[in-house]
Amino acid sequence: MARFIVIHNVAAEEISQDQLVDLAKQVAARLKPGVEWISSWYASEANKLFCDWEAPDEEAIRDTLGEALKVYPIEAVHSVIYINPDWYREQS
Amino acid sequence: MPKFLLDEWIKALQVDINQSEPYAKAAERWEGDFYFIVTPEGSMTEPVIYYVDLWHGKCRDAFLVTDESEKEPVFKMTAPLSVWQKVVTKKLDAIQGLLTRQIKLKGNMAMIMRNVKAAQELVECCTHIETEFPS
Repeated sequence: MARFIVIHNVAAEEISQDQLVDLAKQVAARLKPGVEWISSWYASEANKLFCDWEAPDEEAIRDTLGEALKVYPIEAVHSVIYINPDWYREQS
Repeated sequence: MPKFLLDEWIKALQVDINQSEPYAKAAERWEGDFYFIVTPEGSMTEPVIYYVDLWHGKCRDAFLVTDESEKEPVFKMTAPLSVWQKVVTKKLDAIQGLLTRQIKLKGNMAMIMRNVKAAQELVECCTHIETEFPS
């Protein structure tokens, strides 16, 4: 399965806690087999949200995001390769 | 040792905030006051409301409020005693608490998220206080 980093612009000036949490719950509820929202990292100084996804393609991610895209539009999607530092640790 | 839920605790926090250089730096642009509301749990019968006025890296005022209508702060954060205890002792990240609604927020969440470093430093100040929690 392909891995993606999706960068959202989160410059929205105002959002309530309920709006934000409900959006995240909606996204989680829309996940289909083969599409996984692995984690998200919020960069407060840049107002960007970096999300790590596993999905067959970019379209599957956009489809899962649904209404969330209206609030936090996608700025860029990068197809990425996962690298684990454990691969380079010396075995004792 | 300041007791949580009493005025002495929030006064101790005010002193710590005003001595914290990391907080002053992280919150240098912050303007906004809070109610931190502790909802009853265990032996508590009434909510406890702390008012905290945070302004450009300093705590201008902090005291226990007996009537919620006394102030109209920009933000209100509400959680049961056990949740606040976890936050103050760093067993629960405050932002995680907000993102999972363990702590209820009234106010602009975007503003809190943009100032996450200030929030972390505020919690750090809480951990400096040797706190006695109600059993």
